[in-house]
Amino acid sequence: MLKKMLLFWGFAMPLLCFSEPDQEKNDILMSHPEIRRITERGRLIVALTKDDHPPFFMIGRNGRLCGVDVELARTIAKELGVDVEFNRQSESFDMVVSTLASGKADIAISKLSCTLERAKRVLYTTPYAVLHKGLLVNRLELARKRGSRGMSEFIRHLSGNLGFLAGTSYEKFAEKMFPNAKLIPFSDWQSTLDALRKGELLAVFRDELELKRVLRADPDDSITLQCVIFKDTEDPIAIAVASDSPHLRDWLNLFLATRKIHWTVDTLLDKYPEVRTQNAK
Amino acid sequence: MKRIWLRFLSGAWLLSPWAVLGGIVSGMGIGRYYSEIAPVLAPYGDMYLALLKMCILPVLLSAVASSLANLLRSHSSAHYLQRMILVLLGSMVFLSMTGLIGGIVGQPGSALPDDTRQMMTHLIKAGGAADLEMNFYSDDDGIGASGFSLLKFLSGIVPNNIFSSLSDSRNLQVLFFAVLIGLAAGSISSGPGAHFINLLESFYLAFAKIIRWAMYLLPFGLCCLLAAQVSQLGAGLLEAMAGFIIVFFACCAFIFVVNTVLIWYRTGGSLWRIVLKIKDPVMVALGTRSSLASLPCAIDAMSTGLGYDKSATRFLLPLGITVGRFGNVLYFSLAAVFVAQLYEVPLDLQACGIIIAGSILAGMATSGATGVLTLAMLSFILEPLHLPVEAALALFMAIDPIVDPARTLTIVYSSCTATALVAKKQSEVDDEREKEKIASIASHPENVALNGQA
Repeated sequence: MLKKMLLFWGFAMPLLCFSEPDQEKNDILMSHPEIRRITERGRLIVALTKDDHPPFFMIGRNGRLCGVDVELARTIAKELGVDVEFNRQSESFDMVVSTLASGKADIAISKLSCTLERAKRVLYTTPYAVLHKGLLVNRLELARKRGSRGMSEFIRHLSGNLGFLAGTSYEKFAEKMFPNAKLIPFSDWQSTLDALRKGELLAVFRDELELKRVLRADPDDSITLQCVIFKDTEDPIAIAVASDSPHLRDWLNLFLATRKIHWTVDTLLDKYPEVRTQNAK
Repeated sequence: MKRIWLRFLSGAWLLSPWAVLGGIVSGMGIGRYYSEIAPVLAPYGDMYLALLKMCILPVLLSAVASSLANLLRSHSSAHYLQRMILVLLGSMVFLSMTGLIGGIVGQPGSALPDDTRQMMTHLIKAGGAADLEMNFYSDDDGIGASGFSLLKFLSGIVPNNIFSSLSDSRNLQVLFFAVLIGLAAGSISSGPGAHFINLLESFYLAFAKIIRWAMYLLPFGLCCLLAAQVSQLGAGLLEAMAGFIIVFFACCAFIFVVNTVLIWYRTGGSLWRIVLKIKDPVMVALGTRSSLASLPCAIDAMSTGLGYDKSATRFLLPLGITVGRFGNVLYFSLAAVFVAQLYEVPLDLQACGIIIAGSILAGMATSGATGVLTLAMLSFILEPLHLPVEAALALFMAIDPIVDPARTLTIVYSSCTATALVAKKQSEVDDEREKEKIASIASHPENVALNGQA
């Protein structure tokens, strides 16, 4: 019995080895046309914005591009059996979508929020990260203003000085969500935080990632400041795919599902602790 | 030789303070240096604790009801009740002022070094108070108003079903029920009333017997309980909150000395005798961290041990332990000062008044609460002071296993003192009764025969 098996494998092995390249070529030919385009080119082109958005993508200490998005792109390229090329010509998030729509890139992994406007031009995968909006609150000021009202009740009808960064989408959100608050625009993040610590501001309105990063950066802050995250203000972050590549999108969805890739702000900050010290504007 | 063996087998040595001390030291030693044995001992400690807790409700109910009925019949209840309320209020004010002054003198929360604040931050994060998650557009997340209102507290005292209050151990409701039963039984006619009161009293005596038996196991119980507790303490906690813990322990030590001196003054005799008699409730309070678990042996120590009026101790001690939460009052006032110092908010006279009144009310409100809810009452003082609660609460919860024994001890020991201040000695009561009897015999000679029968 054993002899027979050895004999069989002795013949079969060389055959298998020879047939492998052919098999691979066959696989490529039989795969979806969008995926074939990438594998034949030998490169996956990924669009990113020009500016860094740590911890999603940034230039690391060694001068190389790194981050969650970059790692995700590299893993996808490896899974497709190709190299990865990053296209960083886009000035803004909307430009990334344009780059993708015009065919200059295969996919965009660039901390892209899913918006209805963008979804008219490109396809989105299932989100691989979810961010929320939130407030960073001065605990003492909050206790003074709140009285005996319930915490969430008070925050829904927030009144008091609310700081935000001028020129961001948060200005519009703040007007809509906190009509009773006195909105105070700031030009840079550091002076916003200083005003909050001094109690000149009751709260600062920004995204969960930046807010939690403040609490992680300064160990003293949890005593004086508190993060309030709005669970139902989800900002899903997903991979965008050109609108003519539905099969690539399906393949990416399967990839995200089988690898169980789902980031939250806490896991992001745990994975990239070094971004805590970078004082991003 | 034979006599020594007999004495050993009788187990009397287990009741000596040295055996109890041995149990404590060995328990702490095992917890500290052989922490791998602690999980093996823990179930036995829990069993012992369960045994003590089993007696709480029957004792609370029967002791209060029977003693109140007896007091009512001997017409001394009004005298006791008035004095007890005065003593309770006075000692609670004294305790909350101790906490306030201790906080102002000790400064546990001001000018903390950076690394201490850093460790506090870790505690806050570990306690989940660094950030709050809520829904903005819908309010179904259950983070409603946490506020504590006096009306809610008062309406929670009256039970609508005494059996469900008993099975949920709502002690304040049981106390309310016991007081009513005692008042009613004391005021119905002497024949059937006496039977009912006798029944309650024998019920109480049976449980007192169980507790006395349980005291033989106290050294082992304490050893197991303390081994489990000590092995779970982390050194990091001590460092972060060292200032607060030290000041709180100092306040408790001060109160301990004041209590001992007061009991000594009231009882007379040697100090050593008092220490010997009072050691059981003190050790049970420290080891079990449950003030009510030490109630039965506290009653025993005060009445049989130190010779105070039986009916009075059986009524006053449960009242003191359930309503006058002395340890919690002290803790709350010190905690409020600590939080104010942490946030660098100066305390004016009005704030001091709020702290004293608030800590007494919050302390009394904890009589219905257990565990985490006890500490949550802190918001009752901090809200009117406009101080943030959440972060501080996380800090206090982290150190609670360390602080809780001292708090419980203060509750039990101060209740004993309040009882000693109010109750008469049993010998005085007997003398009075004797005099009354003689007087009644003198005025109605025909009653002699009846009295003889009774």
